[in-house]
Amino acid sequence: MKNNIRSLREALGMTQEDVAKQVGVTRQTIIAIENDKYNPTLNLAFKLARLFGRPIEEIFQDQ
Amino acid sequence: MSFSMYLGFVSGILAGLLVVVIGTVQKRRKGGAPDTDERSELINVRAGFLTAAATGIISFVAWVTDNVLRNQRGEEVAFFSPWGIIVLATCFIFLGAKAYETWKVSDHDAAPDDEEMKKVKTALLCLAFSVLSLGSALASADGRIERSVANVLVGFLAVLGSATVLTLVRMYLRRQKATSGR
Repeated sequence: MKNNIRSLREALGMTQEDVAKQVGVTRQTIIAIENDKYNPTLNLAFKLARLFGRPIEEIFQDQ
Repeated sequence: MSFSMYLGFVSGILAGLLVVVIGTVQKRRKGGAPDTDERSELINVRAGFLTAAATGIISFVAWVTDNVLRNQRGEEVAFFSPWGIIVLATCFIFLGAKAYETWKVSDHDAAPDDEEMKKVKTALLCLAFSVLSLGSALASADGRIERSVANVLVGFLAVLGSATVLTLVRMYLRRQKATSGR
């Protein structure tokens, strides 16, 4: 699973720590998601989608 | 090691655990970024599985080696040595965890006859069989019952226990099916 969280986060001028606090996970999890090392649960994917104001399929792309 | 030293060791472990628990509670009250989340939970589960598997494998090797050496020295085989107890406990933990996990992930209420449920039934049967066999063997080792009687009981109780469990599971499934078919 690919995602564009890094570019969306940078576009909003947010740090990984900011995103982590907003969605209630650790910074390590955000790092792992950005590096395609971890696929988030649906719950977390929805939280990220709400945070960035985009639909899930625009943030996460199935390979 | 004397008993007082042993108690000191146990108290040290308990005190360490208490410190960790108090620290976690205080951190949670203060708020801030969480220490654990879905990813760390997944990692913890995997680490726990690997730890249990490694413990089981190491204990199994030690158990077999210990008993082979005992046999070579002309001593009696120690089935319930500390290694044996760890091996058996690990088997029970795995069986129990697998049965619970399958029960949780399978849609047991909607489809009582699906493949996953068959696995749960098999796991339950294995558990019942093992517990009965172990109980009889322990009673035999303890000298409370004759070894020959215990051997008969192991077979008898295992069959009886398995049949009971199977019947109970079937009754439950039939009831579930009747309820969902209404």
